[in-house]
Amino acid sequence: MYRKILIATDGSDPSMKASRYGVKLAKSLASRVTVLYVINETAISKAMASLVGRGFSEEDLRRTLKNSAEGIVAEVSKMGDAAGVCVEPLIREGDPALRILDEAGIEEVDLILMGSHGEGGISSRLIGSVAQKVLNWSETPVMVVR
Amino acid sequence: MYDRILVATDGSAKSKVAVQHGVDLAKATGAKLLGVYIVNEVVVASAVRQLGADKKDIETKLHASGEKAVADIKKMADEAGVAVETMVKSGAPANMIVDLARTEGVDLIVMGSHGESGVTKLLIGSVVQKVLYWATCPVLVVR
Repeated sequence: MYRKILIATDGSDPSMKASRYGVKLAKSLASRVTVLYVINETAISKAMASLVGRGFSEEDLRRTLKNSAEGIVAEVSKMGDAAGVCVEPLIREGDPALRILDEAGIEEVDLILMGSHGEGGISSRLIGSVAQKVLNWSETPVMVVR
Repeated sequence: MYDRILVATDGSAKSKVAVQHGVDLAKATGAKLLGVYIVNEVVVASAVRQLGADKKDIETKLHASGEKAVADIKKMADEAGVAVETMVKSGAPANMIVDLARTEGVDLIVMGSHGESGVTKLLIGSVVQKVLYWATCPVLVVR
C-alpha cells in the first residue's frame, strides 16, 4: 500500500530501533525504503566554533561527520539487505526536520517513519523536537515509533 | 507485522481519510481493525453547565453520532474484507485512546492530524498531540 517509505534516522538508539521497525514494515508491505540522515548544520557550526583553530580544520570536521553519517545509513541498508528490502541511502545537510520534509516531497514517499526521540534524548520531552516539527508540517502521513 | 490496529474517529471527513489508511494497512498485513469513537465527556459537561442541556439527552445524541461514525468504519472495513470490531466509549478522548490501545493490546494507532474541531490554526490537533505524547505503541498520523 505504501510504495516508498522514508525512514529518518540520526543514528541514536531509539532512532535505530525505529529504523529496524521501518524495514520490517517495508518488508510486510513490499515497500521500497529511502533512509535519510541529515547532518545537523547547527551542530556543525557549533562544533566548528569550538574545534577549529585547535588543530581541526573545517574539512576534517565535515569529513568526520560525513563518515559517521555513511556508517549509519549503511547500517540501515544492511538491515534492508537482511530482510530483502530495497534501501536507498541519502545523506543531506541542513535543519533535520526541514530536510526530512523536503526529501519526503522530492522522493515522493508515501510515508515518513521516525523515532519519537533522537539524539536529543528521551528524558527531557514527551516527543522530540524533530519529530514534532515533522508532524506539524508534513503533508505525508507520519508514523512515530516509540 | 500487525495483529490489531486501532483507528480512532470523531466522525469528521478528515478522520475518514485516516480510517482508510488503517483499513488499507490492516488489509495489507492481515490485521484486525478496532474502530473507536470516544464521546468527549468535556463536551458533555460544558453542554450541560454552560448551555443548560439535559445530560442524558446530550449523551444519547453524542453516542448516536459515535455509533454512526463507527458504522462507517465497519462499512469501509467490510468493503475491504478486513475483520473489524467497533467501540463507542465515554471519556477524555486522548486518555481513552491511549488506555484502550494498551488494554486491547493493539500494535498501532492510526489517527487524523485534526479532528472535528480541527481549525487550521493548529498545526496538529490536541487529541493526536496528547496521544503522541503518551502512547506506548507506534502512532500513524494522517493529514
